Amino acid sequence: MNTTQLNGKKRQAAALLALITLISIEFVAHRMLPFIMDDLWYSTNLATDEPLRNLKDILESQVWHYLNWGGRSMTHGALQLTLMGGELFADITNVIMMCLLTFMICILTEGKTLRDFLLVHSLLFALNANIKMSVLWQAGGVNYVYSSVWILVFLWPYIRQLKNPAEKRLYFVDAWILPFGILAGWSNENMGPTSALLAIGITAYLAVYKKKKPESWMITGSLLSLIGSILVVIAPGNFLRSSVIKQPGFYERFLSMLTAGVDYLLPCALAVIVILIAKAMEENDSKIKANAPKVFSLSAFHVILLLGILLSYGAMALSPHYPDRATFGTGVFCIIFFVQVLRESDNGNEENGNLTTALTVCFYVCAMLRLIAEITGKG
Amino acid sequence: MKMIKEKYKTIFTPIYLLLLLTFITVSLYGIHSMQTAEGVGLYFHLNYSFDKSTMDVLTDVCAGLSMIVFLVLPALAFRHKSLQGIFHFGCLFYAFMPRLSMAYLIHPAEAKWDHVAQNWKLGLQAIIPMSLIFLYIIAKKEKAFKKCYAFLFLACLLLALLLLPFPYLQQLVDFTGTYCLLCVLFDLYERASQLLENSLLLNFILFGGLILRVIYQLIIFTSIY
Repeated sequence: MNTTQLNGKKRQAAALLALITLISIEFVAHRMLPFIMDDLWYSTNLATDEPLRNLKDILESQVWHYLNWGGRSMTHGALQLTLMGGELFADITNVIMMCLLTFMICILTEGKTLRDFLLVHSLLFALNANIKMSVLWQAGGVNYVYSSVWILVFLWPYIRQLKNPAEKRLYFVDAWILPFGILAGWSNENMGPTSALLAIGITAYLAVYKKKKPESWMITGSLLSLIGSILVVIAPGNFLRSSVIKQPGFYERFLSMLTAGVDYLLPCALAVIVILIAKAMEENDSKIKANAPKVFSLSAFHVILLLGILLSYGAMALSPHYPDRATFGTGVFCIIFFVQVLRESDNGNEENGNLTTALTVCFYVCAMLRLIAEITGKG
Repeated sequence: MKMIKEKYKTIFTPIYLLLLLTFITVSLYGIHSMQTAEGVGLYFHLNYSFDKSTMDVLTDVCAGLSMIVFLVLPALAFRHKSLQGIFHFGCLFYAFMPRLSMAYLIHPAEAKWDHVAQNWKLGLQAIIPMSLIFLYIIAKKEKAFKKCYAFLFLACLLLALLLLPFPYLQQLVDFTGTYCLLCVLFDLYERASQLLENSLLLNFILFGGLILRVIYQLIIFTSIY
C-alpha cells in the first residue's frame, strides 16, 4: 500500500467518523423535540377529533383536510402515517429521510465519495434557514424534507436524460414515475408546480433542441405532476382558509419576499453566486490556454437548476406569508447547484479537491454547532 | 473589455456615491434613534450632570465618525483606495455587521447574554466559505494567503476565547469578530475581482443582492427604534 492510498483511506475514515457523529447528533436533536403544535392536531382524525387508529382515519382526515383546510393531502397523509407510528418511529424515519435526501442530491450531482455525502449532508443543516421548523419538527420535516425526497426522485430520470440524452432509461421508470409524479406535484404550493414545470421544461428542451422524441414516461410523469400541482392549488380548503385570513398589501408582500430572499436564503444565494464567479474564472483560464473566445457558458442542467431556484422562490409571491421554513425546497435546489458546480471544477485536481475539503470542514462545523444549539435550546 | 470596464466605472461611480451616502445617512438616523431610545444622553445627564442635548449630539457625532472610520479603514489598509472599494466594503459592512447597542457600550457588564455568540452562524454559513472560494480563485494566479489574514483569524479566535471568562462581552466580540472576517473577505474579493475580466454581470448580481440585503437590514434597524 503506497502513501497516497493510505492517505485516501485515512480521509475516508475521517469522513465516515464525521458523518456518523453528525447523524448521531441529528438523531439526538430529533429525540429532544417531541410532537408539538400541528403534530398534535394531525395525530387525530381531523373529521371526528378522535385519535388516529388506522388508515381509514387518515383517509377520512385527508378528505376533510382537502375540503376545509388545505391541499397538501399527500404530504399530510404521510405526516399522519409517521405520527401514528409514535415519536421514536418518526425520529428514525426522519433521519433516514434526511440521508435519502442527501443520497438523491449526490446521485443528481454524481458525487460518489463519502466526502461528497458529508458535504451535502452538512450543507442541508448549515444553510438551512430554520432547522427546528423545517427538519426537526415532525410536520415541518414531512412537508419539506420528505417532499424534497420524492421531488428529486421524480426529477432524477429527467435530469439523467438532460445530462445525456443517449442515457438508457431507468428500470421500471414507466411504473414508478406515476406515483412519484403525483407525489411531487401534490407536495406543496411552491415546490409542486416548480417540479411539474421543470419536468415539462426538460421534456420540451429535449424534444426541441436535442430532437429526442419524448418517451412515454416523460409525458405521463409531467402530466401527473401537473395534475398534482393543480390539485394542491385548487383545494377548496385553501380558499376557505384564505377567506378568513387578512390578505397582505403590496408592502407586506414585498417585505415578506425581500426577507425570504436576502435573509432566509442569503447563505444559499451567496453560495450560488460565488461558485458561479469561481466557475467563470475557471473557464476564463482554460479558454486563455486554448486561445478560445472568453464566453461564460452554463449547461442545460445549470439553467434548469437556476430556473428551479427562481420558480420556487417566485411562486411564493402568491402566498400571503413566506415563513423561513418554506425556503427549504429552494435551498435544496441551491445546494444541488452549488455542489454540482463545485464537483465539476473538482475533476481530480488537487487544488480544487482542497477547496472542496475546506468547504466541507467549514459547513460541517456550522452544521454541528447549529444542531448542538438546537439540542441545548439556543438555536 | 477594457472599454466596457472604463464605461462601467464612469456610469457607476455616481451611483456608488449616491448609494453609499444613502446607507450612511439612513444608518446615522438609525444610530440617533437608537441612542435616544436607549437614553445615552440622559444617562450622562443623570450620572455626571452633563447637558443632555449636548451629550446626545456628542454621542451621535462619535458613533457616526466611528462608523465612517470602520467603513473606510479596510479600503485604506488593504490599498483598495477607490470609491468602488469603499462601496464594496460598505455593502459587506451593512449587509453582515451585527448591531452594536449604545447602552451596551456604556455598560457591557450589565448586558444580557442568552447565547454564547450570535453572528458565528453567518460567519460559517457565508463569510468564511466565500473567503475560501476567493482564496482558491486567487491561488491559481498568485500567492493568495497574506500574513494579516492569519492575524485577523487569530484575533477572531482569541476574541471567541475571551467569551469564556467574560460572556457579557458577546456583542463586542460578535462585532469585532465579524469585522475581522469581513476585512479578509473584502481584500480577497477585491484581489479576485481584478483577475476576473469577464465577470461584470456576476459582480453586478453579487452586489445587487448585497444591496438588497442592506436595504432589508436598514428597514429592520430603523423600524426597531
